[in-house]
Amino acid sequence: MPDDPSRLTSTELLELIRPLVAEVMMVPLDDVSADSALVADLGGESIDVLDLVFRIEEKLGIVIPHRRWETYVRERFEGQDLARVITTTTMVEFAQSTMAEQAGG
Amino acid sequence: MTLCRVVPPGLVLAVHQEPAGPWGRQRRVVDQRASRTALDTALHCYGNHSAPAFSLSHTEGIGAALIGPETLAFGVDLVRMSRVSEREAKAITAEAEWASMGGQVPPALVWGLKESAAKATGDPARFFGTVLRIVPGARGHWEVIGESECPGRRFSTRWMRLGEYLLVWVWAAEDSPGDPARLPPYRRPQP
Repeated sequence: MPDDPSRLTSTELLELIRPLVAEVMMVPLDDVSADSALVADLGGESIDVLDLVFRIEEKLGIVIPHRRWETYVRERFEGQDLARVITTTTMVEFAQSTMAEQAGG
Repeated sequence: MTLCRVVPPGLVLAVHQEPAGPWGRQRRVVDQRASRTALDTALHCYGNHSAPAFSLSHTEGIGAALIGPETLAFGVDLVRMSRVSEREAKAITAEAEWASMGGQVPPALVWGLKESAAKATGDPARFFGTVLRIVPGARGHWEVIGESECPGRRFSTRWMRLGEYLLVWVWAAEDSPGDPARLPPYRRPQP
């Protein structure tokens, strides 16, 4: 668990989150890139994505408020095909956004 | 295993299970094949009706397809019961809603009801989780209603257990207002 996850760069966060994606989606780590769509490319299901949110919370030692993921998806991806637009990078950006919000930034 | 039957309110539901895995990287391909086979089966059972609408779900090599008229909003979800814990179910439920269910709705059913209702709205990115609320309905069945941005849309529900899996489907209740012109984008049969 990083001392201050809010100080991690996008690249560092990506390297923390990629193994989590591989583990939850049950695919080799090499299959997980920044642009991998969690459902369309990696075969995940919606519940897998939620599980990934939980694991990011635990890995980074942060608390993700109830409904935070639901609200984030709705505001960012309304009307879009979630199977294709939610990627590994999406999870990195979600973690950054959540930490920034909690820091008051 | 393949099954097909008519389910309330007169929709055709088909389920197909691919031979057991492990599938590794091919998991998504296998799942899509399962749902495609289920869809073909359902279309065959549906008979010669013009341009039916459909909803699909798949998990772990099992595909489900629900077919019905284009004028009805409906959705289906298939989930392994042990896959959904109370944590996942609570994450998509408002606190008051969870309390009102009084432990009577198993986590997998909570998930299936919300997921299938989200599909039925036509915009699951917008209408999911706490925007949809599970409430007691008539004759011991639960219903799903839309909150805030999804006003007035009410879904009737049914479910059946298939071994360790739960198959859930919902459809717009007769008195549920909504936009009949807005059909889910995935409801067109694929060529």
